[in-house]
Amino acid sequence: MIPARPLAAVLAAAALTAACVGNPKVYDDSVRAAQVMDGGGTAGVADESAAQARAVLAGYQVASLSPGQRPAASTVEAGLWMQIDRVTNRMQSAGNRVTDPALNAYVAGVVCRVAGEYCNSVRTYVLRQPAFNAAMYPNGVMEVWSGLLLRVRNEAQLAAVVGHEVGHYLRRHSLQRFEKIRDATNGLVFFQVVTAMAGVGIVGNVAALATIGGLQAYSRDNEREADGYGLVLMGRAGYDPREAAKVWANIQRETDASDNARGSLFAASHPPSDERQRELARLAPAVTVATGDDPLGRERFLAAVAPHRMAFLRDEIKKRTFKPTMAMLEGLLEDGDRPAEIHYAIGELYRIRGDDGDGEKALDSYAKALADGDAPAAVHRSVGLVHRKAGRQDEARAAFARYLELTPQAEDAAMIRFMIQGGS
Amino acid sequence: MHRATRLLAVALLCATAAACQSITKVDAGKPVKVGDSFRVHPQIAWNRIEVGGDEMWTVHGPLLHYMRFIKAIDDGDPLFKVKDSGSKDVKAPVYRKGMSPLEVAELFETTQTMGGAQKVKVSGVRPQVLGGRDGFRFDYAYATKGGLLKDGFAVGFEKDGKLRMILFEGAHLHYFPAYRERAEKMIETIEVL
Repeated sequence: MIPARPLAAVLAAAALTAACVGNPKVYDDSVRAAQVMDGGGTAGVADESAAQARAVLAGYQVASLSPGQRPAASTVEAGLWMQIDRVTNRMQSAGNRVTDPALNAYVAGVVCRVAGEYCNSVRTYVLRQPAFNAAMYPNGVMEVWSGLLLRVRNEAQLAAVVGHEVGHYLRRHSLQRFEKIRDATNGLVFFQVVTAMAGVGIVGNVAALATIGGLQAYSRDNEREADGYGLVLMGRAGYDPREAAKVWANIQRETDASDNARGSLFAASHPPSDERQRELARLAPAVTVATGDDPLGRERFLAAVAPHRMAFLRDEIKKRTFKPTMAMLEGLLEDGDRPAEIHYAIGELYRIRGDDGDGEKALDSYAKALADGDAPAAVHRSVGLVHRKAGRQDEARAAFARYLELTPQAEDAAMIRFMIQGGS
Repeated sequence: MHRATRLLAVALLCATAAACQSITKVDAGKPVKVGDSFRVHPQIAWNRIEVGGDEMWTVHGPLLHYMRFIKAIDDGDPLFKVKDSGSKDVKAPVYRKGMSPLEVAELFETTQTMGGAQKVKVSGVRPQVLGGRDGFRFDYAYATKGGLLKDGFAVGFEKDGKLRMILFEGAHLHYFPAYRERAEKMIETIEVL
């Protein structure tokens, strides 16, 4: 459980907020909450629960922390850093690193805005990894997975997740775990565990969690604390804190769709998504939010991710986890941004699974993509493949011909022409 | 040494030996039968390694470059084995009789990705005649987890409902371009059995 904190700490949080990025004007909590929730109408938080929420948030002070300085060589923390440095140095040349400077700069900018005065201590890497995750290492390296960028809807939600990770960093949770494991295991395991536990983030590292099985309750407390810090940090950066709970609503949807058994190591070590969602929603109205002209940052976020979204979607499809991926795609469809691309991805998911009836479902999705008027030409190629598999050669040839008509220089044009002529 | 310990040591030795890959030399200039699928005419000497029923040929070692002759893949079989993720959500990618070359290329891309390759990019799927048969070819590129860039190409065809494929790949710097021509020559002279 999150312990009650002294109310006096509210003052420290307020002082911290004054140091936030951008216009430092601070809104009164209840006024801000009312503005956010009701468009400026009546206050939306009951006095008692608002006071409780404020008391909880008061415990998440940032101003008194001072991470980012390399620990003295004789300390346990220095040993942790040495191991972590090895891991994070490899990240610079990792095969799945996204090298696009624009996307890296955008994500690093959000991380920096959330990290505030600790910005210079953080290095951010975006990785092509089709799963919901971000992680921050004790030496200030932050990794953000492409799967996360598909599962948040705006910059505020991204800020909530990276804020959570910055919370782990500020509270030195890795060091706490490191010391706990060291006390619970012998020296050899102590060092082996370090690299495994490095980067246990939102989702966590299964190997690490298996090793630290006995510490799961401890980890849950860390996660709750990081959630709280995430709210405080996103608020002081001018983001709408109510967006944090929405992230977990999206994740819950995928979890519900999965055939994997509940009670996984992840579930054991992390508060359930619905619990997180409720707690974040309860605390959000009490968060002090800096003024800003765009508390969601939706357009900025969509514009930054747009050039990569189809590639990221393809990575998800290649995982071949059909039910959770479908749940994720349906969420994106409801979100409404460029639906043709999402209909196309849903069609691809059905086509590649190839179960009975999937061909027709794929065609239905492709039709919706084409009806939208902004569909990629490759939709016609996929339509052709479905018809070909079903033995409808005339329809297949027509679709392939349309694909070539739209993209005569397509890199697979020779094969498509060969197939139109009856080959393969 | 205690008897039980000696027995355990012998058992471990046997298990280790059984797990070893056998490496034999392939001489230049002589036709070589590869499994039940092909006969090839190597121009240079290669090292021949058996990997899960497939043959892998290399000069400097498979981490740097190799030519892989994939055994006949039946309907419902994977292109090659990848580690089981353990997730009940995952439907393993398998070959289906009658797949178009475009779908085989997709299958390859997915299988490579599930095997741990990063940012796999398949391109240029096109027709190619192999040993007198209509087949296909595509290029691919990927990065290892450590960031080493690899280039490669694949050729294949379906015979009796089974897919035959040959891959050649190597490090983007030096090993792929250095051995590409030799690999191409071998594919040009391939005989389908």
